[in-house]
Amino acid sequence: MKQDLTLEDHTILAALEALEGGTGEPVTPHEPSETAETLARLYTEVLGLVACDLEPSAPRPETRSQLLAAVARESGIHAQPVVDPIPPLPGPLPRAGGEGAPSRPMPSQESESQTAKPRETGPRPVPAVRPVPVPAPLPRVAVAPAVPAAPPSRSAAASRRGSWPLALAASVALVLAGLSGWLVQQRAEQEVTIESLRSELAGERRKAEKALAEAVEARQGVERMRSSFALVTAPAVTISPLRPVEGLGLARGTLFVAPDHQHWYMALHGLPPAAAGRDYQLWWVADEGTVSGGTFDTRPGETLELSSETMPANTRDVMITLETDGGAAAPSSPAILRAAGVYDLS
Amino acid sequence: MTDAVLVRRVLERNPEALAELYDRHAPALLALARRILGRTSDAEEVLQEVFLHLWNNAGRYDPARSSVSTWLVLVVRSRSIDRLRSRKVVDRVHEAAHLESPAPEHASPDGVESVFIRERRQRVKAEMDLLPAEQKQVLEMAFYQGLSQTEIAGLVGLPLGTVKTRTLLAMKKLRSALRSEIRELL
Repeated sequence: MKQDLTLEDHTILAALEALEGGTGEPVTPHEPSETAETLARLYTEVLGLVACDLEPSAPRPETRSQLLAAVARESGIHAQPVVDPIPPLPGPLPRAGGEGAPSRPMPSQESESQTAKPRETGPRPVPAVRPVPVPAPLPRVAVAPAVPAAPPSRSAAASRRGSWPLALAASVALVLAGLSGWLVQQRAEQEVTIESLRSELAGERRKAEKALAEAVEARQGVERMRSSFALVTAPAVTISPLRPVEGLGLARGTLFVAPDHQHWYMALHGLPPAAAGRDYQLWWVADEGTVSGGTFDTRPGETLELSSETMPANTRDVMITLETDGGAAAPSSPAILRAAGVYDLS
Repeated sequence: MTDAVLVRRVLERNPEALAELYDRHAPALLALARRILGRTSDAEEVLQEVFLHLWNNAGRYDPARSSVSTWLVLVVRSRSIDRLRSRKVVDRVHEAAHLESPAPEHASPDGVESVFIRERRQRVKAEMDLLPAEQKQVLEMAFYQGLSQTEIAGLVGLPLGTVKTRTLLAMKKLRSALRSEIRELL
């Protein structure tokens, strides 16, 4: 599996490792490249989306209140009305802003009401109100746009007329920003597509290499067949039928020897597969003694074909024995098959 | 106002921004914490911890590496699994003491999620349901139980390579199927 891992696979595995570690950090890119960073980002978002599968459930209102109170404590802010909806205060204190107005003065309103006071910095003082129990949340009050009480003055109108190029420039900048964001996004997607195509290309290359290897093997097989065919049809070929010596009544074989007495081809039928730890071994009986021609095994029902370009000089006989796995230096068991005569077809 | 802008305002110590982020994400995050921990009380504590963490560490958010919602999901998941692991140790000592039965699953109240979030959830759920059961199983074991691939292989009785292959396939399918949802988060 490791050999086939793509950058995408590595990224996912890194994401899984990050999950195991439980750091809560986004996925780290597998390598310092833009593609790796994009993939890391994409799979980080996939992990984030996995949790979207769950049905959301609203926390208790107290959880929110406690959180905001803790935040206020931590930062020394005591302005609880800022974020937490509060019930209306009794007595002469009016509801902030009345209907349709924000629950607290907007910054501009605040500055207007405090024109005579020095600007406050740091935490605001605690308002002198009674502690507010944790309230049931009220609907958020929509912030109404400030409505001018009177028609704008000429100077204001002139100011507005003078500011339209600024507004136009801002709009253009906004459009450009959006466009560049879109382009960045498109590029990220293209990177992912390229990576995916690279991965597919690598897969196709592997397939092509495999097909080429198979073609080479097939060509070699054809060459072997052609060579064998040329041998068995040669005008001066010598043929030796191989017959079972004892026991293996179904096994048969035929040895073809070329006129040069070097090149040979043998076909074997009906030899059962050797037992575990055993191999068949071919032997040539020649002037120099009994020489091994190599070991082999068979599969059920298979016609086994053996051939070579060499054979010991003055070979007089051929036989096959069953030996221990890997072969023996000399025949250690009785022959299973043996040449039964030599027929010269010249 | 986008989540990223709100995080910037949190960084400027603006509690309104934190409250807005809480209102947007708390229901989904609570569901996640509860799915991992089983107990609503624990889940709500984690939720508070995470938003306090956000208040104090908003600067650690990197918009180049994740969306705000995903960042929050990963932090909640991580805190919940940490708590689950430590709770398992405690539970072994105090067997079932103070055991609170898991809160019943209940539908979210109206308005708790925006139409946009609801549609996204439905799409994700549909795609998760389309995953082959064996792929979904290993992904959920990794995500919700914090198990390593080796641990999952041991639990389901499969070779590690098979578990990894299933998880890889699940993640790739989700990435492909949720392309538009991911694009919205980028």
